[in-house]
Amino acid sequence: MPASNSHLALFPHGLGAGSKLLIYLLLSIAVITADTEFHALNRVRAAMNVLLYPVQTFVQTPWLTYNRVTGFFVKQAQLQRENSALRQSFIQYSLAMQRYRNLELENQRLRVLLAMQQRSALTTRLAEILAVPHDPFQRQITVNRGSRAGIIPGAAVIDEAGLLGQVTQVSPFSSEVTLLTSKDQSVPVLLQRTGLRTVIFGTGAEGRLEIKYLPHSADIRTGDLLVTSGLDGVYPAGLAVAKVVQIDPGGSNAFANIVCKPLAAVERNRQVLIVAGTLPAVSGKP
Amino acid sequence: MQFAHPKGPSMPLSHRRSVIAASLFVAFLLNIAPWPLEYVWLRPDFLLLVTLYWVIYQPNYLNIGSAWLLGLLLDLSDGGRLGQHALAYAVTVFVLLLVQRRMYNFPPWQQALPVTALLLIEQSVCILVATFTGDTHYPIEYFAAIITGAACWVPLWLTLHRLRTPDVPEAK
Repeated sequence: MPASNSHLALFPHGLGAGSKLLIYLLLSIAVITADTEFHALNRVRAAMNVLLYPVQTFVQTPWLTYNRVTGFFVKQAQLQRENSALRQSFIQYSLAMQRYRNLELENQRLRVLLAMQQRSALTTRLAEILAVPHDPFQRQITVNRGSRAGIIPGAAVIDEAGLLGQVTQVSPFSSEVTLLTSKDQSVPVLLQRTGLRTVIFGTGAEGRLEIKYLPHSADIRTGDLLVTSGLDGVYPAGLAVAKVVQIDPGGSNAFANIVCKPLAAVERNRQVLIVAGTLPAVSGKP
Repeated sequence: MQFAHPKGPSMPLSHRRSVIAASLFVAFLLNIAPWPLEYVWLRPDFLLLVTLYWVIYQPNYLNIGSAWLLGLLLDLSDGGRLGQHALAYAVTVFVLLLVQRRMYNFPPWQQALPVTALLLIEQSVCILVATFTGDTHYPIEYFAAIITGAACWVPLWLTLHRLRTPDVPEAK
């Protein structure tokens, strides 16, 4: 019976802590290399995601229930205020929408006349953020729609303000989205004011994108809006991406250093839209 | 031998295996629970804190290997780099094992300081792994999770200490 307190044992036997640490160190290095360099463990991840999905949805239920309950006990005055505000914006939007329909039809006819490829409409799918990594420097999120909902790797992910990122890995019930700000992401964009085409790069820092290879003579100003150009065939054309916030001439560098701020933000709400529709045809002349 | 192990109030207390497993599971649930996304950098690592507690008080049940597995589970749950937290947990538990006998006798508020250091070690290992795999940007607020984690230590200690039951000799 006193032997049950064996953490006080005088002579512990078995592997020492140091050698155990060495074993697990080597094991970790093997796992990290297999995952980041060779993506060999994607199947394990997908299987584990399927197993974890019920647990994750279970954990989310108190939060969702809280939201539902507080949503039920909203004040009448607040509802009325919101309602009138929404109605106003609805009228404004429906006006814009009428013009937009006309323009779209006109655009289609013109495209037919010019014998250009047609743009197809986008279909989107609403998804909710399921998990964010524990280290904020890993710029990615997990959302609760997967291959069962028709999500494919490479699909663009947007929120109400603009492009958020890209689906990089899909498991049956959830998928991983790499954010625009991730260090390895780059998006072909178009300067909306001038039509200048360039590529925007993630930096790994939150809320910061960079345009690297633009000559000093390029016509670009702070406040300019950048939209996807659709040239890569991955991102549909015309999605808002970022605003130019700072142009640094860069002194001796051959290129100007241009800092942009992405319009979409993960922090704003838990819902995102996955562009699940067919990839639109590349627009315009080369 | 009887006098060495008196019955009564000084009867040895410890935890059942089921309590250990359940507490680790609850900590894992807390880790993957939705957290306000603006304050995600304040999120303490409950799983690591509970693991540290069990390594201090029940080192027979939790060792470097189980800590490694728990870290791997955390990596799998949030879609992060696989193996990163596994390595960090293993290193942290190793460092804790070096000072475990001293920690065992400290009151919780004195344990909070070394626990802060252990949390710092865990995050440093994570950053080291991230650097090796190509990340370059580490915001300073990343380390805020250490402070919130350390603040959770005393309440967590009190909760887990209340779950002790009289030590029953294990059937072997």
